[in-house]
Amino acid sequence: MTSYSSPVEIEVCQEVLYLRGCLTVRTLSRFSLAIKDLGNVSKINAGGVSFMDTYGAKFLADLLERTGLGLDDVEGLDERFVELLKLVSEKAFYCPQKRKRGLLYGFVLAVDRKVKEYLSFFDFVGRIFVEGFSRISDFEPRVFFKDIENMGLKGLPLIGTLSFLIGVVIAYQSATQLARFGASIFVVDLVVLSMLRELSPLIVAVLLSGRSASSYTASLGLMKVGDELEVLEVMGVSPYAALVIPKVLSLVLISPLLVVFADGVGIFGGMVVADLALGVDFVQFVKRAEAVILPNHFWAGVIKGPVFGFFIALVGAWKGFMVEKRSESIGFRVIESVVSSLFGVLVIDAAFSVVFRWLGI
Amino acid sequence: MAGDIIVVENLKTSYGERVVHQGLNLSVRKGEILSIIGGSGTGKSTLLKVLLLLKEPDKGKVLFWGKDVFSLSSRERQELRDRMGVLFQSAALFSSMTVGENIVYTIRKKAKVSYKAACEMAAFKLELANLSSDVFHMYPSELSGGMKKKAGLARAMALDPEILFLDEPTSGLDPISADEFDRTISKVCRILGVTVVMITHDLPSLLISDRVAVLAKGKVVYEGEVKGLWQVDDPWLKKLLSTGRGRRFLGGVQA
Repeated sequence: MTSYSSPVEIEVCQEVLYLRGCLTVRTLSRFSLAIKDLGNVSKINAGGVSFMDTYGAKFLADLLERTGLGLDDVEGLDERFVELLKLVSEKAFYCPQKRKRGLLYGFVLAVDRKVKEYLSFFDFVGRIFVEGFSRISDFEPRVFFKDIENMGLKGLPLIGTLSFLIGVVIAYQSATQLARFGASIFVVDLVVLSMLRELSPLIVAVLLSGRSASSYTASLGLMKVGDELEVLEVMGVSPYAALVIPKVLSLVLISPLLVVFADGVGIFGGMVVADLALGVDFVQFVKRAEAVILPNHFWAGVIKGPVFGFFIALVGAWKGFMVEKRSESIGFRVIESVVSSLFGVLVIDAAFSVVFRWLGI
Repeated sequence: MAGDIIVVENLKTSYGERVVHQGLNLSVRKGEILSIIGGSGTGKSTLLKVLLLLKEPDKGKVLFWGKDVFSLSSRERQELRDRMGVLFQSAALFSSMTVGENIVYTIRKKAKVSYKAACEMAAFKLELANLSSDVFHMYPSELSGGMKKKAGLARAMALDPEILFLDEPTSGLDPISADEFDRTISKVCRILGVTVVMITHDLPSLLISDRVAVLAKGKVVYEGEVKGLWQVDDPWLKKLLSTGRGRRFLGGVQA
């Protein structure tokens, strides 16, 4: 074992360089060629080299180059290492340089790529309608029902908890102000209108972005990396009809239901606080609510659900199709899918507000 | 034997209820190329996991250079591992790095060398593995299956290991590439004096091995020279050698 770890020693004596020890990656990385001036060397005696690997051979080859000597000037080197030394000195240690590009060029390239990426969204949506719906017989009901269960049913506890808390918070925040003006009953307007029109759809959208868009991206991305999408294509099954449409459809169908559920639970949260903190009991609450709520308010919120669901599912699936065969790609695309779908949802929500105002809803 | 660098004694491994090895004995000699063959499910890959210290056996000993590895501290185990290189079946290159970065990372993780020196060494290893320097800045996803294997071999050889484990190195390669790959392994390992333990399904690969071990029913039923293979009394092996490929292979051995 000692022969494998004996340290490297270099000594120059009467123009002969004596090399001793075990020349391996481990000993050499501890050894630095601190001797700046080796002086005149006309021979290298490597009789004391007990072991040598490619790192050792490279070291010796570099030493030869530095001293201007050839392979014949090495004496005493063990047979088995001579061959290695020859191999190392023959091969060019050529490491190609990465092509460097200018800053502006890189910027333009990145912009170009991003623009193309976003334009591909329309291509993707187009394919769903053209390819997917023309081969709708490939529709996979199992995917559809599984997603209804995973994205809808299993999301209920979380959506319920969140909207209940939001209802509680709105009522509680307004409690002191309203009580000061003796206008406690208006807590009903506040809770009911904000939940129905704005907050429930948003809570649902946030949850769908976090749970469903990411899940769609990851699962479709993994299928793409594993060539499963190609297999479907070769089998004559359209991945758009078999996977994307069921996923989109399931979100479109469950999201209005989730909005209604969030409405109910959120308003209940407000009712509880109104009763406890403002002395507005359940009967008063419901009576006032009946007077305030118009069908418009309810439908304005519910109609947002499928639009959000449609957009979120599309983004999730689209980003999944963009996953490449690199480990970091899937993580990156999942981030993009959550961020893009959330961002998009807020933009769409703003558009809804403008449209509703025009229509006077 | 004194020349044995790996000795496996009376090994028993299992996954829960399912016993994989029972009373398995194997020895690997210094500087040899040892092939391990056996039907599916005979525990070849599990044996590799044990040898890479990734799976602890239920019973039995595994000795590396005479040391019982499963009684060593985790630091000592890592020191042993630093002397091994491995090429997994799917090459298992880090997909987020270029081929060059894969090798440079491996080198720089263990050896204190400059970035430039590591790059040069990586280029050299790629050349040894018969790859052109063009692949240096390419990502694994841009390479063909054969090139991935070669790049994986270059990475396995990055730190000049004393033992090299290869898991089906020629699977998924066409016969020409497989032959070329075999020759590369054989040449590189002889020059560098590396001991090779290779799991294979590819009969022609046995031609570059010094010895072969046959796994069946959780044991090594034969361990010895390739020539002795057709005297082994094992139904799977007899079947293997009687296939068209097997007969052609035997012709090659005898010739």
